[in-house]
Amino acid sequence: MSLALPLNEEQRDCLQELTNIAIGAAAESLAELTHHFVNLPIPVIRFVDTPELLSSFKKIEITAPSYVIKQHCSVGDLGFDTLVLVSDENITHLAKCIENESCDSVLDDTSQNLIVENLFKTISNTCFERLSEIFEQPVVKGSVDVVGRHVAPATIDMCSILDTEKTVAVEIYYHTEGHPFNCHLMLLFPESAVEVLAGSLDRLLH
Amino acid sequence: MARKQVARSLPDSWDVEITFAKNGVEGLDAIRAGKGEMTFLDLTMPEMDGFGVLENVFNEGLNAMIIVISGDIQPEARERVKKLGAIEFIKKPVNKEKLSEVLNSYGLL
Repeated sequence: MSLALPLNEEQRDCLQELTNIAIGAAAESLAELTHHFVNLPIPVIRFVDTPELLSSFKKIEITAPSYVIKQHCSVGDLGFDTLVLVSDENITHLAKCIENESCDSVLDDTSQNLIVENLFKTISNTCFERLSEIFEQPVVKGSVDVVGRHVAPATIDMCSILDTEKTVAVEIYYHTEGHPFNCHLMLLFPESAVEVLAGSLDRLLH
Repeated sequence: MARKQVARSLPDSWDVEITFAKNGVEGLDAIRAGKGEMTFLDLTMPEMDGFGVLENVFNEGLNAMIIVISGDIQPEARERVKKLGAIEFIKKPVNKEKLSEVLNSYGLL
């Protein structure tokens, strides 16, 4: 269940707009990777209790075995986490996209890991670059952590992973046109970062 | 925010009446009402996206010169909007200089 967003309407619009720009650039990178047009929905912004984070977004298949990858980063003094969630089934779809449908064999773990790593870097790096341009601040990236491999998102303890009880979450559902591949990108701001986030958005607005 | 940013980026001396639309359906209604001779159109919108607006404008033969301003910078997105009749595609974020340059190039200033 969503809580009242601790941003005013202008700040919320600004966050939606700048993430729209960042994820639009990431969609271009994803389109290059998948050789398919990527449908780009409006980012969904919610303030949620962290244990309910993944279940709060309707399009996430909460029981499907999936990879969940996280990376902490900061743009200036604004720290946040990036999460990519892709189901095992979609890793196979992605492999077919990348290999132009010639991939028929079952993927082993090494192949899956490489594909997922490639996907994560493709989406997140472009996203970070654009956010860095927008905020006019350098981006500092932490290590990439695979926090779940072949696990149902419902079983992941997001509180221990994000170390916060409440999160401002921006979720983007990417899906390719004419092909079943889809994945989720989330930008996650812990409750402790909300004041810095609001200040950063105010600076952009004014 | 995007609407305000575009409005702020318009040339100061441009004598026009500005109508804002919160989504594609409102935008299409405004164009049908004759308020969209020059339309700046986002692609990612609720209710009806920019592609949907372009298709309807094209199919209904509505009077609108449309410039798409979007964060969706996939080459195919650009191709699609041009095929649907948009005169130009500008990548977000838009600024005053870029907008004036485009408007000038089409003799709109």
